[in-house]
Amino acid sequence: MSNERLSAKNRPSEEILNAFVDGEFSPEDRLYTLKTIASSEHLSREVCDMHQLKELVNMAYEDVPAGRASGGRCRLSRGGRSAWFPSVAAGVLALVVGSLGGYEVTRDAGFFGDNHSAATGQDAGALAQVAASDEAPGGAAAPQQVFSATKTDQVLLHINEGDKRAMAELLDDIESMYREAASVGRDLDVQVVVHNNAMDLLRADSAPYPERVASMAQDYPTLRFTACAQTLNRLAREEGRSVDILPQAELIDSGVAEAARRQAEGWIYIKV
Amino acid sequence: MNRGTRALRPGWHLLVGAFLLMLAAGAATALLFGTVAEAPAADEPLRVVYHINTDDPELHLNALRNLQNHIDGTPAGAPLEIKVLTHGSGISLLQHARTDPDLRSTVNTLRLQDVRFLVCGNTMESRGLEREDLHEVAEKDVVPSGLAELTRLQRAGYTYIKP
Repeated sequence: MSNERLSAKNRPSEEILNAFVDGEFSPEDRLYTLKTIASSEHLSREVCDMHQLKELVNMAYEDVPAGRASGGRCRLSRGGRSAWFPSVAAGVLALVVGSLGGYEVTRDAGFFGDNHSAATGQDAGALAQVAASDEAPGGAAAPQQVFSATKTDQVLLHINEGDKRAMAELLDDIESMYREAASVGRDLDVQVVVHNNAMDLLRADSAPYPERVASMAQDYPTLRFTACAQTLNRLAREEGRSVDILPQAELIDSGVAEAARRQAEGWIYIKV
Repeated sequence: MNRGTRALRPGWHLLVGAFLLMLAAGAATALLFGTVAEAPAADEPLRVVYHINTDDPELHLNALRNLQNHIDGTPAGAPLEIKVLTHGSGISLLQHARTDPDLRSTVNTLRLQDVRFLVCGNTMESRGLEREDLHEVAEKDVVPSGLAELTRLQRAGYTYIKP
């Protein structure tokens, strides 16, 4: 079998070679790939290189005894300690040099220390405008300028009290938020997290405003109503029957965990 | 077949490859730590917004007391900007302040310390309230939508507290 034909037609793809090196194949596939590779000297060397690179990468991240890294599997390697030791030494040296270099570069670019305010100049501008808007009468026009600093607001509204009036006002508020966002040309993601005593809002059998929830979910594609599964499980246990939620509502594992998760992701949190 | 040079070549490739990889990793690490290590400037004021949306006079008094403690507990000279956003049923705080002298003087004392009391315009509209029904609310204290204002303030760096 000639190398030319192999490289043109039967040569396994880069993905297959990588999967082979990573040991992701079943024994049959592995044997077949091994045969193909063995039939071409060029290919064997390439795979051997890949294998060595993989071992080196592994070695860089954990303290594996390096004996097997360049051992008997690849005939082309010289084997033993002498082959990998210079590489590792050079690697560590490069790591130190790279760190120092990176530090110097970033310090010059203003990521450290004194130039900090320059990097966050946009925020400072936004704050200045907030301060300025405090003095402006009405305050209706100023938010537009402040909001222009970023594109999308992601807001989590957390409700856990069963007050019907508060629920109605929450729905009013959401509509008003979307109106205001549209008027200043901003995108808005709203997630309502319902748990504990507020579950009525999304319960199929006792929702006070099911039509409104349905129409709002339709009007605002970026609005999500989410119900805490733990609260629903508790209610089901207490009432001895399963508790269904409105078709527009989604289940989340835990209301509190979701609130924490979203804040960690940078969402704005408001408890209503 | 020139086996000798071929046997050496992979080693050199790897050496150079590993060197470049490490160089990149080192630079990336320095960059990462550079961004994490940012500290806020010392003269940056601490901005806080208190959100009140329940009609509960006891909660109102406690919240305002907390707020005074917040101010008292801040080292002298450290800049502090506090806003109170009343919204929904919480608007009653400023209604009660018209008739309850204790509450009124607490609100006035906080205002003298530059605490701003903001009112949700939607709530005033839905409850048919005018500014005259609330304790000393100027036109600039009325924001169109309470929740939108809370979003705006948090986006601008205010810390959110729900007493």
